[in-house]
Amino acid sequence: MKFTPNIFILLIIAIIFNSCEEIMNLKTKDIESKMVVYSYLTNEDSVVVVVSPSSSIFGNSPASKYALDAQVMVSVNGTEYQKMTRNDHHNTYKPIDSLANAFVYEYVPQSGDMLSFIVEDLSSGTTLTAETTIPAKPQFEIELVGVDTIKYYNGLIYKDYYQPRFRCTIHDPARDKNYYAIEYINHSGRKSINNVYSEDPIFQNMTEETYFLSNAFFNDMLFDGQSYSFEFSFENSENARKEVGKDIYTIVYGRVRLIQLTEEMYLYFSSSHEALNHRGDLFSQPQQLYTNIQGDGYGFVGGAYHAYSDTLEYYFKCQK
Amino acid sequence: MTALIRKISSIVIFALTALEMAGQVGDSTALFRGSLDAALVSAHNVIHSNTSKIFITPLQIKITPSIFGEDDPMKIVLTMPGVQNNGEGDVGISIRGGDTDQSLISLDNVPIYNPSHLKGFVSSFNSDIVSGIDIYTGAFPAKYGSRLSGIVDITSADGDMKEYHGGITVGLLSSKIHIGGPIVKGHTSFIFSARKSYFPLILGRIYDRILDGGMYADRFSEIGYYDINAGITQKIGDKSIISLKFYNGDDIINIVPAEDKINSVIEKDTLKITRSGSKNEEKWGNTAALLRWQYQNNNLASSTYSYYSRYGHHTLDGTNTMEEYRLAERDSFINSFSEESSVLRKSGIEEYAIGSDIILSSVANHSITFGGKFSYQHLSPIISSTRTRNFSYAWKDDESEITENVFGAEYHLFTASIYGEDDISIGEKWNIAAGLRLTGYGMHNKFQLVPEPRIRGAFFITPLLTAKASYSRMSQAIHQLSSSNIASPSDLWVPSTASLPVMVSNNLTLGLWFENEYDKVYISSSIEGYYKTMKNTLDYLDGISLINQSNWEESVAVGRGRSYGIELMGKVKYKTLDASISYTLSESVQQYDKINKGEWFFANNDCRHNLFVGISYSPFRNFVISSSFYYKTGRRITISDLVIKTPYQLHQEMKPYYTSPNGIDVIWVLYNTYNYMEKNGYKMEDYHRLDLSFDYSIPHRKFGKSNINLSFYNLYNHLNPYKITIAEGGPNGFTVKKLCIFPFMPSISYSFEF
Repeated sequence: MKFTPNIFILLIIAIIFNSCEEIMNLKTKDIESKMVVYSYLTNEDSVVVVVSPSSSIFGNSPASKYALDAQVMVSVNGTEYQKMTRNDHHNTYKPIDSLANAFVYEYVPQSGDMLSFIVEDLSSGTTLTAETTIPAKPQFEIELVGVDTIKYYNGLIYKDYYQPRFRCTIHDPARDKNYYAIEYINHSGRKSINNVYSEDPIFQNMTEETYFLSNAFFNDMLFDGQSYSFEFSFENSENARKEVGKDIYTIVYGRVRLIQLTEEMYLYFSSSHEALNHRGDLFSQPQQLYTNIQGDGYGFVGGAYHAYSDTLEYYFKCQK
Repeated sequence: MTALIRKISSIVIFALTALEMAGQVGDSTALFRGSLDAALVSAHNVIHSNTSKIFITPLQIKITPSIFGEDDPMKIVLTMPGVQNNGEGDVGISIRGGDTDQSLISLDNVPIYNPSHLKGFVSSFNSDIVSGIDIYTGAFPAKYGSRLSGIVDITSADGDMKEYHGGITVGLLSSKIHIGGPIVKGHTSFIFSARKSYFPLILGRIYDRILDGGMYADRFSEIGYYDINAGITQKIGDKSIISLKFYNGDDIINIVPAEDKINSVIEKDTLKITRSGSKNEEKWGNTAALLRWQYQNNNLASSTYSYYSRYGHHTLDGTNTMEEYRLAERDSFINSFSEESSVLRKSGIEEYAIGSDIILSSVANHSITFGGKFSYQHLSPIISSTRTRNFSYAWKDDESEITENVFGAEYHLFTASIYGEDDISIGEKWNIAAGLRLTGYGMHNKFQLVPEPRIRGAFFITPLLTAKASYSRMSQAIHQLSSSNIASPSDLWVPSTASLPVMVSNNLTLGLWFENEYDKVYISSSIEGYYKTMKNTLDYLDGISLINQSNWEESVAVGRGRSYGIELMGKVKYKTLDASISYTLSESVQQYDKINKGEWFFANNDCRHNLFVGISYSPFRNFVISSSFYYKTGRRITISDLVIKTPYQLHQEMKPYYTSPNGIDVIWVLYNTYNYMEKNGYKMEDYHRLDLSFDYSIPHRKFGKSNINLSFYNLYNHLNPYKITIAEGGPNGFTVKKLCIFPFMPSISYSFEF
């Protein structure tokens, strides 16, 4: 028999094409439940703190009553601590989770405010503390560039998606490290936040997998103290399309929200972003979520300033 | 008898040390070989007067079963006690619990900063040019420095001064060629080897199926590597040799985007066509060059050298957009605008060094070694540059505009070291080597002097049994920052700075050696214990992503570590049967004030049990069967086992169902995010596999010989986990799956040598 390399390679491939993935046993650990404190403070909403218990991914954490037995105190700009109200009844500020509770303080923070928190669990005596500030208002302008048509193969046919593209110009203050995030608030129908994406170098932390995440955050490393313009777009929703006779129009109706972040907030987003990137890839070094909670617990308390563009309203005639 | 051994030992110690300094000169430079061969045959125990030292021969490399038909020198290194990596796909080597950056991997004593191709598939070293490998896992002679945990020095062969030799090998992964011989017979020789891979051709398609994601053959337009080695050796009289050696190896992964975007819109009478595409490229490679002068007379051997070594890595993410305008009705060209933008991230390290090592044996019972070295290292951990090129074309009027931004810091590190060591024979039973190495590090506005005492001793209990002990202090001023728990080509080399002190280790070893030859059966065995402490080690802080940090110094924590273990090794040789076994029981832990809440945790390379058994047998002439069995405790991993409920405002993956920017009807939807409780708190399944290899040589009557190698990697197809994933579901509420990248792999290679 004449032996040829091709036959041998085919033999190799046939042998190798067995499954290389299978279920394995992993010795799990019991994880103690601890108190988790989260708050996202902005210049346009009252102070809300959410308290919940942590649990184990393996489902072996004992039940905890942290959320029910917690007491939260807040101090604004060093004034006396005030007890925050637990929101038991109304839907506003009510976390959609049976093990969590929201605590409300009816005060809308302003730029420069420093807020300090003390969270106590009355049953266990655990005390957590945290503080943050509200950053300054960011200065920026938005102008329309055009609408991109993205041809996307959905597995069956090619479809067109329309992505309005804008140019954002930020006026970055000098001698400060500044941190930002940008979002598009769609006002067509129900208000929603559209995912923003950009290929500008300032979004160097973005990867293909995380292109369409909210909180497209960035820092001023490339334009410190200067005015800087970058383009971004977003995938317009289905209800932003309208057929008029033989024509199809895509509608832009909304506002761009530029968020100024504290450095801690930026670090939190960075770590959250990395954790998300590495999720399911345990081969990678996992990321611990950044925390500024002091004490035996978890969570994050961060401040941000929300600034908005004027309402953008455009109709684009698209090819059918 | 003891006196005879001592006499032989003094010859062999001198000859071996000279051989080390000379870099294992090849056949052409048989300068030291006269007294050496006979001594090596009759004084096995003397060879081991250095504790924690291992020497690997080219024959060992050749007979050990290979993967994809590649004889890989570094895979053999990993079978030695105290030496390991974090499994398949790991480019680094960990010695006695040290991090991978604490092992000096060198070619002819020139550091090779990334010793692998294809992200750990194969090493950077072509077995065709390897004439030996020296491994030091402890008890470091004063000559060696700059790394905390170990030395792996690969010695390349010189060309034959009398005859031409060469060969060609064809394998599944790559093909290679080597040739060497005299330029001027008896005076000047050359050697050259080259290797080139063709991964996508065969293995890429196999891996495409294994990994089930179109990751390799379909998406990678280019993935592969090459390397070349070249050398010229010149004899000057009977006492001097000058060598010039060169190595270069590069890797590339070039990703083709899954889709390009095309947009055509009619605005008034104009048809606007927009085309956009992208490019992702990753390249890395080493370059090394060495110029060396070796001299020897009856009482003195010296090696004076100068070398250059470079490692570079870069990733390029580029996009291009072209807008073309045409008259819609006539489809005629009006003008076009194009924009190309790219982000290039580069990191690298360069080293220039000059030094000299001298051995004096003119004083009875003393072998005195001394020398010095000066090196300059240029490190560029993260240099990012953005480039935008705008180009417009309208018939004959075209304009081009280029905008470039570069940011990142570069570092300069100067290292000067001098050393001296005396190897003394005291009486009939004692041998002690004591030395001191003084190393000065010059960093930005800072100078740090580190004294590194070294002492090792041997006591000949009987002619066949030797007890040995050693202490050595080592220092290191460069670190490798890794974003995963295995070494990767993209890891950053960073220096010690004013705020990050030089790393220092203390190594203590104690052991017993036994060797005997009885009725043609040669037996050797050893047991060695070690204890090592390391301080000023570096690791990324929790929750820090380096890519977002303009200053890496703010992203790392300084910590400490310790490791300890017991190593057993046994060898038996009878006629054409060779068998060896090595076993290591060890533990390695680390502590950083700012990582893992300041608590001690198991190091990435912690491995409780590590076992290797190797057998080779030649039943008849030109035919060798060899088999190897590997077992080691599963790799340490960190699992994000802690579930924390996060409001959507702070959650990056989920979008809210709806929201109002004016503070009305805000519902705090909570999503799960995941943290880890303990760094490296879990371990994967244990690793084990059996390999089998058949090697058959066919001498040709007229010219050369052919060699066919048939290897079976992972013979019983144990799926050793490369990575694991955890998903919800299953009887326990979750399911853990493992993915194996090296299942049962048969391979064949053909080589022709002359």
